[in-house]
Amino acid sequence: MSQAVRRPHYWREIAILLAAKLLALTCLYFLFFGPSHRPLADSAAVSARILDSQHR
Amino acid sequence: MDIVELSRLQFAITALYHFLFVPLTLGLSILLGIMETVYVMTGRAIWRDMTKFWGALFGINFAMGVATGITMEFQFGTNWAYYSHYVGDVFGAPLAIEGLMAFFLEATFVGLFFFGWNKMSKVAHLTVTWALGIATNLSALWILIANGWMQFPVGARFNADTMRMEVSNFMEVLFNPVAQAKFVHTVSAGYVVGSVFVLAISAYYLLRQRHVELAKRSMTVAASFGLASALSVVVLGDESGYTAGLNQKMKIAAIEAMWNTEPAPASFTVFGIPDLKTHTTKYEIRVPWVLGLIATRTADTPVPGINNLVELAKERIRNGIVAYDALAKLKEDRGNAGLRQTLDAHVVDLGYALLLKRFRPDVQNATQAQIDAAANSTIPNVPALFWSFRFMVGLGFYFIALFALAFYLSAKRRLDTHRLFLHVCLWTLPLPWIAAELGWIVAEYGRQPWVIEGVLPTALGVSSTAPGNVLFSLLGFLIFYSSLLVADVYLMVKYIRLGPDGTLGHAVAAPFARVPAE
Repeated sequence: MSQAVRRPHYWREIAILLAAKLLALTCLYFLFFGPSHRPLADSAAVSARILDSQHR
Repeated sequence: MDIVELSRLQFAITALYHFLFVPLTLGLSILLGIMETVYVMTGRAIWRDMTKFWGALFGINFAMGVATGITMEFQFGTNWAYYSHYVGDVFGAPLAIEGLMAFFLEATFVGLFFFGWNKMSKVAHLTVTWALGIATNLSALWILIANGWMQFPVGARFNADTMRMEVSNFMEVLFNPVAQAKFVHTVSAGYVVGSVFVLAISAYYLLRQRHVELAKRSMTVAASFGLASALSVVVLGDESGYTAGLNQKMKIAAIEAMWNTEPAPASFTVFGIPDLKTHTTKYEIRVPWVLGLIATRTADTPVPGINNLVELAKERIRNGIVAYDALAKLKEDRGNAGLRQTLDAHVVDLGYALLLKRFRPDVQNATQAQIDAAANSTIPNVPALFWSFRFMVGLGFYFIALFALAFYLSAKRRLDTHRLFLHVCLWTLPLPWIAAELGWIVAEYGRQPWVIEGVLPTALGVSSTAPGNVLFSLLGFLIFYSSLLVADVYLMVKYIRLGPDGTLGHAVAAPFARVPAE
């Protein structure tokens, strides 16, 4: 009589890992990539950098 | 170090680190295709086991390559925001396509390659393996189109209203001769890296009399593919140098430490010690005619020297000041057709005027001394380029000799009898990586002080962020990448030591054992 092999379920571990990853990415976003860290580089900023007689 | 130097250092470190993995991916992907083709054609199981074993090492390398490539794309936004705005319209398209190729095409076929064994027919799996190789190479094509545009910015024009370069002819960007030459040269270099990798690891097995049949067959494939690739690298490198000479004359002059234009055809300096202070090269050993013939492919076209190019740069800076002045005035008087006409007439040299920003903010009032200083800043680091190029070329010729000998011994079925040759193969392992990195140093260091040749000086491309931020992330990269390197070397060494039997989980098939027909 053959016994069906029970494969282990990793749902709990996967859920914890995904939550940890999401948390880490959120922290990274707010620490380094959030709006307050974003360097402004639009047409006006490029104009100012290139044409401003005060900017080197 | 200021923000420019820190940003450059960070990009250089991450790019050079990323390129430790890329060429091996390029080379191994094609070698896997060749090995599996033999398996499908002959039905011999040993070739399937070879494909699986080298495929496992390919997988480790591929994962590292993807992980280290992502950080570089982010840097364009974080560290090079002005660059991204100024040329993003042109540079962004190939970069985005490269991302799609890498993440969708390559990643899909990698998955099918590893998990498709025994689930697909032999021919279907072979198709997947070749598709993986083609996708990998296509991914390289797009990033080299982007890089080629940085060296030779064709198919784009400056828009004074948006203050950015915009695409005027995408086909010119796509078929940029510099990009095409760089692509074939770079992928051929990748094939050499892959071939040396297989040759060296196989030599390691033969020296220890392990997995002899698999190692001999692997060496045979690596020797023939490597010989063709090494020859291609040199021929296509010559083409790459020739196309660089179209608009990067200063890079060519710096590589050759050629200070003054000499009568055509110019001689090639095999050895010398370039002196930046006196603008001379000491202890020169020169071969007449060679440089002129290689660089211009004619006997009567001179190769301009560094000092002559500096004089030319002074003229272009003066011309650029006219464009700069018109652009500045246009910002105040947008409808002035005369100013727009003046800008259009001199816009080709606008980038040269921007070189003056390092020396004074109000470019229009530059003194002759400042113009001279800006023109002199167009000279890249001559000794670094001179020696990097010579080591790279020397290694290129060494690989041809090594593969030719391997090919000969393979043809004579004497690969496993020459222990000295096997030792040489093993110790050659790091050399193709050194050659590939030197190639990038020549290409990118030689472009300085430009981030886009003749269009945008590097210093004007960096983000207006605090140097501390870049230093912090640079230290983070160093720590993280060092850990990755340890993990990569550990995994590679582990599976190489385990060998095909241990990696595959079963003994490698006998040389003439066949897989039953489907």
